[in-house]
Amino acid sequence: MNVDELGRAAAAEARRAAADAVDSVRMLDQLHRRSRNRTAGAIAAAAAILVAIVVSAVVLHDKPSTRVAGRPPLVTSPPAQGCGGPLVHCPNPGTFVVSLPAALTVTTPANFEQGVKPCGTAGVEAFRNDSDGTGVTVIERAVPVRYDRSWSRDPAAGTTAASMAQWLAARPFLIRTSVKPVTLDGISGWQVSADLKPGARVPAPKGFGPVAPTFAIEGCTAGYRSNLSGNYTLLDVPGGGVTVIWSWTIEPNHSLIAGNQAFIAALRFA
Amino acid sequence: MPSDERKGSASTVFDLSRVETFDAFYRRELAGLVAFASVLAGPACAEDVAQDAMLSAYRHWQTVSRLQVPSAWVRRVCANRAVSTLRRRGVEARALVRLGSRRPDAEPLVPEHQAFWAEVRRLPRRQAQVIALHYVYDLGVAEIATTLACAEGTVKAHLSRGRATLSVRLGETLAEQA
Repeated sequence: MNVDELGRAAAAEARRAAADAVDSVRMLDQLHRRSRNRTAGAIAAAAAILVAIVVSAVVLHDKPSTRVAGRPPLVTSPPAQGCGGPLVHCPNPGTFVVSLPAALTVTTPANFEQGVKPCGTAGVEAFRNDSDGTGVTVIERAVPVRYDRSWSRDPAAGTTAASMAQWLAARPFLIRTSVKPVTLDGISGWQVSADLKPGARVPAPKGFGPVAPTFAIEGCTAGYRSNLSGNYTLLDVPGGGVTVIWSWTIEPNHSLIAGNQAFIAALRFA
Repeated sequence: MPSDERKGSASTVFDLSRVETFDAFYRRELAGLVAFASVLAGPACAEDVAQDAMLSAYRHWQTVSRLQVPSAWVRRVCANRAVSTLRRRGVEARALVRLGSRRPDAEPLVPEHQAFWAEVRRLPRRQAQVIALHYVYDLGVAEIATTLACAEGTVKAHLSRGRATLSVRLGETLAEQA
């Protein structure tokens, strides 16, 4: 059998499976309901924006302006993909200011999606546009976690970027670890690279499958599994605590991670 | 918006007598679109990806219904959504949340067919889209070029490279099937 024959047979089965599984009446009904909900939501959002504009206008009319001369105003984004929600402002195209404990400015290079996504209470994620599963997650006030399923703090890691880098490099589930000094936005820190040890336990639950856990905050977690590799840059950011910049990929080609470097180099902390 | 979309809208003759209702279009296209989404994005989120593409068609139906090939439009939207990382992650997350409350999934494909589509998904995105359109919809080079708004030469190159890569990666499976 050649690839063409296999492709045709696989397609025939995929079509048959879809035809058997799809309930077009139920799905059409869902689509009409979703459409109605979106319309109602859009009307509600427009009304809320109108109310906010009116209230702002009244408040500004009553108060003297407090804007700093010469500083461009920040535009609060709608909760859209581009600006990512109320925590993200877009002062310029391709630039995103994220309201983390230490405000983070992200400038997306050409190989990244033009948008960022909040990750938990003090993190943000950005995704590559030239790969289906590669990106960078920045986590401020990152908590180093135990090697179990609890996602709870491991006190052995200490409380500084340097101690956490050494702790990470010594995790029992990692091999080929390296720790090297780096500087980002004028802040000295450490970059830890490693691979998951073959056969290592992955005890901690995470969105698309369990991992050997590394860092967490509420709503945002990091770790290793066989198809999730990455490296970590750790910095002591004033106001942001120990900040972890996790450069990751779920693609088999781990060298894709190198393409994240321009994004990381452009990060700026307030 | 892809340039061909604009071109298509501008150059299409509006013939109201041949405009079908959205519901009829939906019922005719849905199963194929779910199969297409399934091979490109995986079965867990196929219905969501197809439904998102159909919702887009519904919202733009006044324009889409007057295109010469409305199905090409919705297939292109579906192809792009299926391989878009941000959307796929969101759709996958929604699909995972709902899995518990949904009726059981359809019978999985036989292992060698699953392996074939898994390898298709590992291809560069444009190659994967071309291969999926070619096999799932049995489209020729010209039709794929129209669907994806690109040159026929580009489609030929993607088809050829995609098949070559699949032959190498699926060598063992193909030998077993021989």
